[in-house]
Amino acid sequence: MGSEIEVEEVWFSYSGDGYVLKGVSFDVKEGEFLAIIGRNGSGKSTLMRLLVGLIKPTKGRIMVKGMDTRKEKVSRIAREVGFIFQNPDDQLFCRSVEEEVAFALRNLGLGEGEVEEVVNRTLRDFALQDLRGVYPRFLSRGDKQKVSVAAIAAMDPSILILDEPTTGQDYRDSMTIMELVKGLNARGKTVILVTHDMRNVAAYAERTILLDDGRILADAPTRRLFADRELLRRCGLAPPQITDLAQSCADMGIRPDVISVEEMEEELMEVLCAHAPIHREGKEPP
Amino acid sequence: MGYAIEASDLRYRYPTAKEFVLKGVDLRVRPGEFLGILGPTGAGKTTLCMCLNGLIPHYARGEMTGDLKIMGKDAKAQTIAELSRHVGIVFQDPDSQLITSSVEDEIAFGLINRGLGEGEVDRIVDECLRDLGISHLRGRIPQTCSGGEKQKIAIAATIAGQPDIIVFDEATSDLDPISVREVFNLAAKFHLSGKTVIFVTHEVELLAEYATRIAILADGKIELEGDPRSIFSKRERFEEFGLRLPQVVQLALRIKGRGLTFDGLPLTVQEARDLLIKLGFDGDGLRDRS
Repeated sequence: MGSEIEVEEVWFSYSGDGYVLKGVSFDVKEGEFLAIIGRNGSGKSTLMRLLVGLIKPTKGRIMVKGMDTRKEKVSRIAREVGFIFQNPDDQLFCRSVEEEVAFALRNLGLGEGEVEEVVNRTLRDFALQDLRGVYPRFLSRGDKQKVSVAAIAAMDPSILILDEPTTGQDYRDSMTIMELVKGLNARGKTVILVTHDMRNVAAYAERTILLDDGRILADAPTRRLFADRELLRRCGLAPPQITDLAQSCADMGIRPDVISVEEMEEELMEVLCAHAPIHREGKEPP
Repeated sequence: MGYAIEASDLRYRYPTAKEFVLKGVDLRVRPGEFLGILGPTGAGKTTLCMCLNGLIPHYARGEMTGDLKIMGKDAKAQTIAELSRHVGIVFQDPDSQLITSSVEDEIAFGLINRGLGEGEVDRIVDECLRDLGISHLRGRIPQTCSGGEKQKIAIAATIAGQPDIIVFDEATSDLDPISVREVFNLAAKFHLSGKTVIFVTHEVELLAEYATRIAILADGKIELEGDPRSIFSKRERFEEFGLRLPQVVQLALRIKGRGLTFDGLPLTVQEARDLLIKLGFDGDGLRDRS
């Protein structure tokens, strides 16, 4: 599979003095689910703005689907890269949910028949039919975020960038958004997720880039990265609580790269079986 | 002993709104408690916080019924300025509360307004900056600081006023994990000095560790309250409100479901490890049993 995004030795400075990004390079392959993590001020949001061409590299080059972001119009890049902001209020401005989804489609030059078809399909996919005529500002924060994901997904970009999409959302809404994004990824979309929520990183991203002070300190499978507790701590981060527990139970023979409660349960059941064959008879784990 | 906060059948609706956001909140908080408030989005958590320092109804107007006493006195009969001596609030977005052009002024502002002398103001500013580990930011312009630094400045400015009650309203949502823990540590320090802490958050793992009591606010009412261990044992209620249990609690409930028996739920990584050792997962116990 080809590279969707190629970031080559990118340096960026807002004012000319001091670089926010200091020689960042990585590729993103088609269909990947990539997380980008790092402490406040590490350069994550700057990097996302660069990927959609809102700002241009001071040095180095970014290629998105073969387009050089320094030369291509932002509107052209936006067809390939959908950007979902932290605060849905920043991107909702129409008078109904339906219009919100239709807006960009009309901008792309689709005919009314086609617009209607895509809107109907999208509202159905995102279970938003009942909210069709509602003024987006009156929706709950979770539903607003759902509408912004739907509006972006309707345009069918091949890459989705989500900058802290679940911040301030409760667990149920956060799960809904992440499951929708997971579904889009399963249908072939490339996903880049920027977040402080390490449980979501663990649950959804197979690869994670760790950014600190404008540099990439690690680019690895998420599981392997979370096993390196020292590195995370140095970068202002901490793995999910369950990983923490697994690592504190190394003496019991638990792997240090456990990233979910289910995995920890499995590990414990294995320990149980290894130590107590009699238990195994009666309590075979499913 | 009197209550720091005493809300009885507290109801509130915003001007022009049809529905009440708070639909009869009953909540009593003793001085020196660290109360965690959990609840789904739209439950009324921020509205409740705004009642505590008088922004509601003195600033936001609207209709408020029921009783609210702060440190024994009727909140409705006090001005925002009077209430601010008792209650300090740190909001999610520090930009909404940073107003001056230097970190030092930010912390001194409220103190000067109260007519404190220069020497005393300086002393308190020094102390707060040191407590928060941000003495090096003293001369900086708050707007040029990072998100985590800004939040610490906002907390310093709130603590400087020495309120009896400090309220964190999703004050850590935008922070990275280590900064989140630092804010909880600061709240704990404040709590240890005998003050009352109200912490509204979705960070259930940290509440489990720090809170002395947890209340769930859902659809404008307190639906559940109790000490963390007892409240986390009500798994179905958590699911009903779309909330999540701490991962160590989830694990404990799962292994219980596998037939292992024990009393009480672990609240921290250390307690979970201790529980696993007690159950024999370090090897010895398991061999004994077989």
